[in-house]
Amino acid sequence: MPAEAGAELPNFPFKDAGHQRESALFGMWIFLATEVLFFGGMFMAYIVYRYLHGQAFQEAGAHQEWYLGFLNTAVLLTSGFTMALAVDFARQGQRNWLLVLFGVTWLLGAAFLGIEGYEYYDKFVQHLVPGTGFRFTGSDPSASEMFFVLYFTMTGLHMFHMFVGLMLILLFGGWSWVSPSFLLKPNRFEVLGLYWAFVDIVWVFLYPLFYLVHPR
Amino acid sequence: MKINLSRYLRVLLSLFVLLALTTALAFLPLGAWNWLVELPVAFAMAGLILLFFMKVWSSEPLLGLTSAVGFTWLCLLILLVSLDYISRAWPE
Repeated sequence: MPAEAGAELPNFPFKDAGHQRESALFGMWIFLATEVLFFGGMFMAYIVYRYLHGQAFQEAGAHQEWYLGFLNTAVLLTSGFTMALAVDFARQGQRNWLLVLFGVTWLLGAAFLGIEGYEYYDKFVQHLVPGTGFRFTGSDPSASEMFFVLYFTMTGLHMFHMFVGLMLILLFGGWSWVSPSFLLKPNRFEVLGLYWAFVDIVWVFLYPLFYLVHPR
Repeated sequence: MKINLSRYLRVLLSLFVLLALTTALAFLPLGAWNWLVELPVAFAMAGLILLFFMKVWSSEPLLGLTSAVGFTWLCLLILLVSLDYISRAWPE
């Protein structure tokens, strides 16, 4: 089969590096739009249940530790800051700064998962995990249980995204550490940066909806 | 490309201020309606992350438009479903 015209050009099949970058980011934004709708369905469910069972949600929300959510939000926002910087350093080919900032971002992400893990443990101890072990005294326990169903589903899914992000940071960071030429294609870092910031955005909405319902 | 550290720092600082604000709003005695004042703050925080950490501010218009697509559809979903629940009586 004859080689396609232009196949020897460095950015083939793209016109140039700018075209390639724009295409990579465009693809990522399309993926993120599907992610918005994926999480969006659950946000819609939350809104409907809270509208129908406001009182039960207030009672359930009183069992949340707002300061843990506050701490986690601060941790995650800081990691968004270090990730945005890391992406810029990757584009400049500054490997040492990239590795340092990836390290900090990774540690912040891991700290987030640790705090969240402690909360899950606390919910188990207090019998607030939906299912046969669920114990709750309130005006409408089954509606309050729905609050925790949504809490575990939405934060769990968010945690899964965080876990994937941490694995990708490990992969990209390790690869750049072993082989500096990995930085010659910086679009991959920008795509990872978009993913990480999106996970931040989801949390920014989860925090008021699950931790600030009825803080004490 | 120059790295604009001071801009990132200002964005992070604004995010912390908004985080403190939304937390303070949660303690206002508004009954069950605190979330309606907290959500606009969350939207402002998401906007800051979108514009600066995700660099939509300095992106090509195509990327900016694409970034708005998912959120626009979600707003339609929430608006129409909410209207349905608010305006119609559902059997208990």
